[in-house]
Amino acid sequence: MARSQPGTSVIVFEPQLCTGCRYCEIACAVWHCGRIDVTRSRIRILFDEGRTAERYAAVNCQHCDDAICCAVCPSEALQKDQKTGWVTQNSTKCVGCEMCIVACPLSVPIFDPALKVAVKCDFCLGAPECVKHCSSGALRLCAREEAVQLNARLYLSAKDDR
Amino acid sequence: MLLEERLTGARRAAGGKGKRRVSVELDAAEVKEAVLAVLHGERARFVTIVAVDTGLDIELLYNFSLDGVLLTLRTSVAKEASAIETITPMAPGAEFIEKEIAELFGVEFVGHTRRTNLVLPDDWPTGKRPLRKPIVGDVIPQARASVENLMIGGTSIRVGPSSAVKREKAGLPRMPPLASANPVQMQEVKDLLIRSGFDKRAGFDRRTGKLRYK
Amino acid sequence: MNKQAFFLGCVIPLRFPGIEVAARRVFGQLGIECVDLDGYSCCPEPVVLGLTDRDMALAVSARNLALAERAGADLVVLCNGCYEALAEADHALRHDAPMRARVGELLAGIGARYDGKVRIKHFIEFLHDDVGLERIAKAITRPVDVPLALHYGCHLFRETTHPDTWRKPRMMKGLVEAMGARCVDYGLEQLCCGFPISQFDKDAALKERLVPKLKALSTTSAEALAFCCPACLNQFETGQGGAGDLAADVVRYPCVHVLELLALSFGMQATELSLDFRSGATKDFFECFWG
Repeated sequence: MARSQPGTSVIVFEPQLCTGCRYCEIACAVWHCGRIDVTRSRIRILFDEGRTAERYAAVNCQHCDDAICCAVCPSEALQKDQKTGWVTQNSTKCVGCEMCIVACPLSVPIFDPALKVAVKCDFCLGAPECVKHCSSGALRLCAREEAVQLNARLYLSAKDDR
Repeated sequence: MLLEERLTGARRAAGGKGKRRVSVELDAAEVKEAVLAVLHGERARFVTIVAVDTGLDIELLYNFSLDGVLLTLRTSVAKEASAIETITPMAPGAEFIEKEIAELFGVEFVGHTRRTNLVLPDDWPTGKRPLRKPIVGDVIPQARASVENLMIGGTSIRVGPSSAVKREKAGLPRMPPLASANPVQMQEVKDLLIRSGFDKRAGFDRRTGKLRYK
Repeated sequence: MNKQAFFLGCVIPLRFPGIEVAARRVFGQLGIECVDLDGYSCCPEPVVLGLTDRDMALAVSARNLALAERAGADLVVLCNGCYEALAEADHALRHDAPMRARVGELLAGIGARYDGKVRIKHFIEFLHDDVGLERIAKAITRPVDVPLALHYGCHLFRETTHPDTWRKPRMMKGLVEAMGARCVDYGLEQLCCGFPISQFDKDAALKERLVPKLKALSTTSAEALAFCCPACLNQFETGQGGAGDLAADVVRYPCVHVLELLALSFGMQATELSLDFRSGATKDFFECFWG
C-alpha cells in the first residue's frame, strides 16, 4: 500500500470559482507538447450549461494514495512516489494497454495520439502549469489532508439538481 | 575567446581525471581552422561527424579521439543556407560521412569531390532529403503573428494606418505613447528581446522582420 | 508612489480608441492626474505571447514596470489581460529570487531597473477604492437608467495579494450600479468569453461560451452587456455574428465598456466616443441614449 508522506500537496479544483476558460488545458498542452493541442492536455474542464450545481468540473489527477492505476499497470510504468506524493509515469515502459484509463475512477489518463502511450499529470515536477495560469484560483495547490476534507465537502454532499 | 585558447582549454580538460568527453562550440566558419589545429602534431584521430536536425538549423558535431578522450567540435548551419567547407583535405576519413550527411540532411560540404551517391539509390530525386525536416521553431502557431509584431513594433497587434485614422477621429494623437513612437525606446525593447535570447530561441530574423518559418 | 499612470495596452489605443478617450475624460473630470507611460510596450499579452516564452514575457513586463517606477507612478491598468500580465510578473519577480536576478541583469543591459515599488491597479479597483463611489456618484449628470448585464472576464478574478478572487467583480457591479444602472443577473456572469478556446477551436468558442451566455441573457430584461476588458468586448462584438449562425433566436447585444458608460454618465456625448468601427447594435445603443 503506497501512501504519501505527510506534507505533500495536491491540486484541488473548486467549481464555483471556475470561469471555463480552459486556459489550464492550453498551458498543460504547451508545457508538455509545445503546441496548443488540448487533445494532449492532462487536465480537462467540463462545462454543462444545463446544470446550476456542478456546472463546472475538472478531470485532473488526484495522485491518489493506493493508486489503482499503479496496481493495474502490467509493465510497472506507473509508480507512487511517497516522498512527493506524486504518481509518476515512465512512458518508455508503457505498452499502451489503457488499463490505467479503464481502472481509474475518474478516467484521468489519456492515450496521447502523438506518443501512442498513456500519459497523465506529472505535477509539472513541482510547479503545476495549470495552477499557475488559473486566473480565478479555481485550481490551486493544497495540502493533501486539507484537500481530502475539501473534496468531501464539495462532492460527497452535492445533490444532483436534475 | 580565441579559437586556439578554446582548443587548448578543451585539450587540458581532456587530460584531466575522469573526463571522457570534451566539447567546444564554434561558428561554422571556424571549423576548418579548428580541425587543422586539432590534427596538427597531435595524436588525434578523426572519428566521425554527427548531424542533428534541431528544427531551425542542422547541428554538426565533429568528433575526434585524443588519447582515448572524445573531443567534439560543435557547430551548426542554418537550414536556409546549410553549407560548410569540407574537411576531407585534412581528414580524408571524413569523405564517407560528409557524403552521407549531404545525402540524408541536405548539408552541402563545399569542395567535396565525390559525385555519385553513397547511401541513397542512384535515381533518388535530388532535393529530397530523407532525414531533413521542414524548418520550424518553437513559437506556437497561434503566437507567430504576435511575436513578429512584438519584435518589430513592441505591440502584439500591428500598428497600422487604420489605427492612426481612428485615433485622429477620436481627437487623440495619431500614435499612443508606445515605444514604437520613439526610436530610442524601441531600440531598448529590441535590445531586451535580443539579450534575453528570445530572438534566437524563437528563430526570428531581424533582417527580414519575420520568423524563419511560417 | 502617489502619481498615477495609465497602462493603455495595445488593443484599446489601436482598436478601441473611444475607450481611451472615455478613460481620459473620466479621470479628468474626477480631477485625477493620470500621466502617460512614455515608451511602454505590449504588457505582453498573457494568453498567447505569455505562453510562448516565459523569460521573454517577464523581461518585457519588467521593463514596463521599470518605466513606471522611473516616472514615480503607480499603474492604472485599463485591460484585464494587461492586468494579468503585469500583476503576475510583479508577483513572480517578488517571489522567485533567481528569476528576479536574471531579469535584473537583462534590465541592467538596457540601463533600467525595477525595485518592486510600483502598485498595479485594475481601473475597476482604482475607481472603486481610491476614488470611491461617492465621489463618482457626485460627478454623474446623466444616470445610466438602463438594465445591464455584466461580463467580468476571467482575468478580473486574478488576485496576487488579496485572498478573495471575487473582489474586483463585486466592485465592477458596484460601479455600474453607482451609475444608476440595474444589474440584471443571468447566472453566467463568470463564464469566459471564449477567447482562449478560440485559439484552437473558433466554433467551440462560440458554441460553448458565447451562445450559452447569449441564450441566458435573452431570458432577462438586459439591454446591453457591460465589459471591463477590450478583448472580451471584441470577442462578443465580432462573435455575435457567428453565434447567430450557430443558434437561432440569438439577440445581438450592444457591448459597452465600463469606462465608456462612466464617461457618458459624466456628460460626454456618444459622438465623441469614436463608434465607427463598433457593431450596429452598440452604435444604436449609444446614440439612442447619449447621442
